[in-house]
Amino acid sequence: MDSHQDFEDFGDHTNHSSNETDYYDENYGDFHTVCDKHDVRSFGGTFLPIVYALALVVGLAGNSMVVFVYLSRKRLRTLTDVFILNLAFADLLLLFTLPFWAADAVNGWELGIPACKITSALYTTNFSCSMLLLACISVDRYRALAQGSTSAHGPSGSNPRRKRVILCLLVWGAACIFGLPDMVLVTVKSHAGGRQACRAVYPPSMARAAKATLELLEVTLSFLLPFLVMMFCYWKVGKALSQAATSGVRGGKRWKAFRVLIAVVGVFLLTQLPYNVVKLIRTMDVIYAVVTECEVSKGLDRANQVTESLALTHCCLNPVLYIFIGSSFKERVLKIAKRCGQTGRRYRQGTDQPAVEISLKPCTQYEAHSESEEEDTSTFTI
Amino acid sequence: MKTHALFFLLLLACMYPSLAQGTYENCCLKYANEVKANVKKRIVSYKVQQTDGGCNIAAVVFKLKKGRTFCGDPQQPWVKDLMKKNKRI
Repeated sequence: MDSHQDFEDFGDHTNHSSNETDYYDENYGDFHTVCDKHDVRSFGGTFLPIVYALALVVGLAGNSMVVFVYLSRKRLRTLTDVFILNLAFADLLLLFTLPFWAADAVNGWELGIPACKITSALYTTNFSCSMLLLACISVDRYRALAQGSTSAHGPSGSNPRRKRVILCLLVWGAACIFGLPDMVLVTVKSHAGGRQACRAVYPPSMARAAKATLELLEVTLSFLLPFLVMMFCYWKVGKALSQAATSGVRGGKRWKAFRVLIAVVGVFLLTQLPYNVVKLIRTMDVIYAVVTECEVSKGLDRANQVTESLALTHCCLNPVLYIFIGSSFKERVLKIAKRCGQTGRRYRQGTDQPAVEISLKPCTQYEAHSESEEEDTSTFTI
Repeated sequence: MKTHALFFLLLLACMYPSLAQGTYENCCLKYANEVKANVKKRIVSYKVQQTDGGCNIAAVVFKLKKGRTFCGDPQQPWVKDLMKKNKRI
């Protein structure tokens, strides 16, 4: 037990060897020592590098494949395609920070302040960008369906390519803004025994309020809101699918379409909910200091490590969820979507673009002089 | 318009700095009651636990001989008194 006393000045003595028990009971019975988190850190030191390494391998393979395929062969037909490509980029950038976090979990932060700031900002920017894009994809799928079935009138957009670029810039710009506080607040702090930590340091006077506010914002805005948006959009899409099914599409196909929707929402819930529940509890603890037992506190910390790793695995699953399940599925859904798209969609396709209709496989030329918003014509890709 | 509003909401959605990487520091979670005189004599040094993001409460950590510690409430007079008598590290 004293083996790590050398590098832990304070709080290494929550456990006591038996020969000191009498002494302890007599004098120290009712006082509170520092809660030593050494075993939490050593747990993280073995657990996190393993998970991060796995996530890195799987995520790099999947996401770089998406980027490769989308950039080389497939033309980005729809807004969702553009979002998926951006999602892969964001996930890749997020994955690149993992080796640094793994090293941090093992040894503490040894790479200096600039690297700490950059890595933290990258992590935040791309995590939020990823969540943002997931929700954007759901909105676009919903929009495609809603406009396909309801609006028979002409398109509003001027230049679709410019619109896409602006949208993407908006998303990335927002994500970068969210990464800014990290750039400012995060720094390297040395702790007991000279272990360096790369973390946000707040002015002590406002730390509790600031930290609690930020964590609550994080839970509500980065999890709850995207989740509600996704639920709303995919609920509508699912409803449209089931309506299409009653009007003649076979049950098997309908079930497959639902399966994708359920997988997308389910995986999001499964990976993000535990992390956010733990975060909420920890936030309550920041505000009210409810956890006074060291073992409970350590349990929460371990739960945080495990659930955060789980939340991170979402970026490896995105390629599977949004591409590999989707592409085999795309044609079937397109057929279903055309049925729920009903006449409005067909009418527009048939009248506005009679020349292009022949070459349904789109070429760049088509997009260049197509005046209508191209997102509508084939956006419904799940 | 509905979709524009949704996109705008989503932009708001990620307005947070990440507190992602926990550092799991050794912290005081609760304050000790006033300790006995013989314990006070054994104090070697103290350090101040600040609420700058790592720990949840402000506290004074007293280090005793043999490396034991206890946590004092910085508001308490007896803690302030002990802080004057001992050296800060």
